[in-house]
Amino acid sequence: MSKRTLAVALAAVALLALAVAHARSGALPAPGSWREAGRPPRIHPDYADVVLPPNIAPLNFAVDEPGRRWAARLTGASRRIEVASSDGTIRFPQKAWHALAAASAGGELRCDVYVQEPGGRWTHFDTIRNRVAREEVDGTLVYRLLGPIYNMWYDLGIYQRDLGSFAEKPILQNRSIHGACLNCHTFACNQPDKFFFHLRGGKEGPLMVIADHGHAYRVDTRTSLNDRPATYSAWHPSGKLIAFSYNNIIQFFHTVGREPRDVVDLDSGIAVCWLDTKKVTSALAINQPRRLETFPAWSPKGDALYFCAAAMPWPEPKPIPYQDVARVRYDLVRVGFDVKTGAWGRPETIISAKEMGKSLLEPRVSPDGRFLAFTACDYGAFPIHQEHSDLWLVDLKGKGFPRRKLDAAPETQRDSWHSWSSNGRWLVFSRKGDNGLVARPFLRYIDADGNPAKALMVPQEDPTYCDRALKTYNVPELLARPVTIPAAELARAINSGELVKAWSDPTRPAAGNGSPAWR
Amino acid sequence: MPAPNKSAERPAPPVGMRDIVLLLWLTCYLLVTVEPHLVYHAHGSTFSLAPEFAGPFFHAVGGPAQYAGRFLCQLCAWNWLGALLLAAEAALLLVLTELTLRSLAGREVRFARYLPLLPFAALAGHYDQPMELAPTVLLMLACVLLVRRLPARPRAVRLFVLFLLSGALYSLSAGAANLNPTLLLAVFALLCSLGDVRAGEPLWSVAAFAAVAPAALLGPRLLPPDPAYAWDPWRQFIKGHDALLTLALLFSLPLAAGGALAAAPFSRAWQRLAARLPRRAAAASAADLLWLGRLAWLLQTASLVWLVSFLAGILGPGAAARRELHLDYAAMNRQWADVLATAGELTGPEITPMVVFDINRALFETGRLADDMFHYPQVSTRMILPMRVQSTLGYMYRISDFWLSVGRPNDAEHVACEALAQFGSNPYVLRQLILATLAKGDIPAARLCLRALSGDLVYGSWARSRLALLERDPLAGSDPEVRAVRSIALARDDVAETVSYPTGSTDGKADQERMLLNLLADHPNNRMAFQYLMGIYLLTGRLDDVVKNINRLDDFGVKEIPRAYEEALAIYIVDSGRKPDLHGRVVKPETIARYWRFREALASAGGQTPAGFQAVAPEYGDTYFYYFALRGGRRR
Repeated sequence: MSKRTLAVALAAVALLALAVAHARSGALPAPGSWREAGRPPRIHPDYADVVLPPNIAPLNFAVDEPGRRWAARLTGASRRIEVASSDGTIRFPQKAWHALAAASAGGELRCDVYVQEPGGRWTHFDTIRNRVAREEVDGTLVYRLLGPIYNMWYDLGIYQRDLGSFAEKPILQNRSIHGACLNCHTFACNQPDKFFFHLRGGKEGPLMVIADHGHAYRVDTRTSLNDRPATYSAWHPSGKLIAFSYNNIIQFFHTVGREPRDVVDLDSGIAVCWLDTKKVTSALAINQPRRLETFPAWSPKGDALYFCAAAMPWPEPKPIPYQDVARVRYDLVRVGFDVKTGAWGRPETIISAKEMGKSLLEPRVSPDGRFLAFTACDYGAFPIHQEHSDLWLVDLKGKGFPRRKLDAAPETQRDSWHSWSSNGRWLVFSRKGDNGLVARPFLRYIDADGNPAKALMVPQEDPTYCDRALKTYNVPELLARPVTIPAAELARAINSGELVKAWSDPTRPAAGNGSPAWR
Repeated sequence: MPAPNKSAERPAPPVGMRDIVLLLWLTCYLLVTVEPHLVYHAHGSTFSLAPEFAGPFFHAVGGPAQYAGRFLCQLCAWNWLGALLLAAEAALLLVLTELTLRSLAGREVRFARYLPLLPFAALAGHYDQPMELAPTVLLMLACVLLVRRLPARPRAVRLFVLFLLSGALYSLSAGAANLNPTLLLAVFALLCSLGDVRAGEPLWSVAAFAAVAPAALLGPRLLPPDPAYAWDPWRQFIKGHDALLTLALLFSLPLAAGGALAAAPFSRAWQRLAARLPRRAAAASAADLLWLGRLAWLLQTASLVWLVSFLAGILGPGAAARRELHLDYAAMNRQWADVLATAGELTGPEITPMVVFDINRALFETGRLADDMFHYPQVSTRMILPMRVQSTLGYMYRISDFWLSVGRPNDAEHVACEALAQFGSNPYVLRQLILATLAKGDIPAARLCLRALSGDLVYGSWARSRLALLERDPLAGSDPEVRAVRSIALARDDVAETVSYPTGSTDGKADQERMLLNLLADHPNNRMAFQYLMGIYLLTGRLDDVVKNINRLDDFGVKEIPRAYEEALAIYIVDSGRKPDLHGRVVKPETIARYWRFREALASAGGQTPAGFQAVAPEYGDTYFYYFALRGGRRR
């Protein structure tokens, strides 16, 4: 290569670099050179009037205004960031964003959007205002990532996302474990050291996999008490036991309507597994004949178990009682528990389904014990497949358990699978409202008095990613720290690790509420 | 001054021309016999040039080779481009093998260089061949050449480069084509070190293996190609249908190199002999020599072409598999005339229930089902493929497509989603899901799927055109496909009537007849539902139901009774002696008479025996009479 050719090549590279740098630079129009649109810009995801955590990754967004060049100025406490774009996506540099968001905690972030029309003229839109909360959100989000699943699955896994950045890592992918289905990961008190998840459809059959401080093992939760394995579960805050429901779930498919999928829980009950002995116990308080009990959730102190209960309207669960499916609505129930003796109290209905005209599901108590968030849908026990499903908040300290719907919008957003942050100020949940096919994770700020802010979608590096991603973010859970147990260790435990069989006394519980547990 | 060597004056062997002939032949073979668009069809996964699609590939060990394979597969969607591409791969393989062998043997290698081409050509005809295999092998050969081009001294530098290249090779291609990366690197080390063996320095060849060992042995453990297998890194073995051919391609390279080296003494002896040849042949005329040379060239080239053809023919998938795939392609691309043309070539065991389903669908789409259904062998009593979620992609696509076309978009969406979950992002399935959601009026879901498909290299333009349509027409009411489905779509939820769950099973069992009847109850003008319903009755010998539903022809303004129905009615009339109410229609006397003749012919040929049916088949094999008698008559 001659010197001349080399010089030309270097100049071309330099020009290209300059062009790229120019495109990425915060080249905003000169003040006064734009016209005012007199309205806010159309952007997506909807990051306007939201409350965001000070430690969240940049809220990148796409501007849905036609133009040939787009720019944004983000202004917070004593700083600002300017970003320009040639494709309509506004992506803030992470370092500058974090500095600005942290400095603006408790204050406001204002975003001005400018769009250059094909003729060269710039338009400025009304300022987007967002509030930055003082309280951080837990740094790690764990979710199950899978396609729009009906019966079959192929590629799914449990992943963790660093909420301060866009980094996503698998905790475990089902390819490691002969394609088994992974579901319902459950952590103890937002900590990553102790967690479990369920396996179905694999070589080993339905199993619970428990990871405890870097050691993983398998438990077969089926006993003479419960012929079906654990489905929905909750760690007791002491870490000594797990409450779980065992359900007889059948999926079926509507032949008209927007959502074909539906699920009926033909029969279910709740039991607890004591982890030291792997003994499974139950009591009439949580497990009554001809009653469906599901979604157990402990109070933060572990002195009460919240769950959902409904009368079983069908005499026999065979064949599918289609005509009764839409009649099943679950109440929210609470029952006292003494972890020292294993004794249960008398069940108490917190909110009845009849009163609300909805099926009340997935109770999750805030870490301070004051609020309980739940999902209300039209019927049944599977809100994610319901056409109408909304999150509600109930004040457990208030007289008559006052409650409110969390989303201000009158139309349903198809929200479900929520969980609290460890400081109780953030609620993460799955929302399916925007497309109806797959769910996305959202965050919502809830202040100390239980007042909710507008929810925001967990940001993606490419803000248009969720416009086309056919993956659903299922069961989002917030963690204070990332999960550190290697995927290889989990896979090894599942494929060839220790298998513990849970067991129970073959006798049935005595009649009467508040009977002692059989321990 | 030394006398000029006369042999130098002889025409040089036209090796380049032979390569061109071989490659031209290979291109024709690919274009005509293999039909690369079938390779694309068999692989069929979405692909995008967008950075977000490429990103995960380039961040993963072995991902770049996988990406290259996926990209090449997309190009095969265009037949001519695919043929050129595969031929270009073959050309590169030839050139790189030639250069490698030449650098090892120190001379031109005339025939051993063709050795890798043999498994390559055989693999090209395997439609599920891993497309990343050729790029992986070519990359390895390029690395070998790079090492071979390095100065022999100092050795340490060469070993260091070898070490670096093994790492690069591992990260770029490990796990590609289900190839064990340790095996690939072993072949790499072997090819790099053969020169040392030839030079009489075997210890350096051991050192070459040692330089490659860290990547080959530690790579799978520390950086497994698929992190999902981190718990057991040695699972990356050669597997799949093409394992033997993959191995053959890989090992053909050291084999060719070994052959070239082993043949060196013979080659030198031949050269010495050839050097003397001009003196002995001085008397012969130059024209004779030229003629002999051309003949030898022709013979060699023809032998090579024959060998490659023979191996490709013997080790390739065979005509039956090609026909099957061809039919699959035609059916999934709604090329109904092609379906019927290909179906005509099928024989015996090739005619599966899925093939018959395709034939019936093609007959319906071309307006011939009610007349010509029994022109084709109806090997199954099932008119519609049953819902079976654990199946092939093609099977599930067909079910989804059928239920969509007949007016049950929810069922179509259900099956499409099952296929998507089971087989990953596939353009056919996504297209199906889009049409189903559009037909339902679920525009947000349709938009999501359209945007997911819009980046695809092959189907992207289709998706973008639909997105543009949605901008103009937000409910897609002007789309003829959507409008057609909506005009006949089921209006009420009939899951309770149509799906039952056998005891202990979580898979529902669908009542297809009821599903069609419900469609007809909502839209009596649903021609597809009607013809398939009648098809069910015909195939199961339910003549009473044929009679009961014949009045539905009024809904389509059809006065004449289609042939298959008329033959069924003739059987009914003759066998039962009753005269059904045909709503003003009549069964033609000649049809009745023909049925009588059929009965007599069958009786005189031995009755309902294999011999009897064989005897009447030429005249009556395409009638419902024949099918009905063959199946044992009326359903019990």
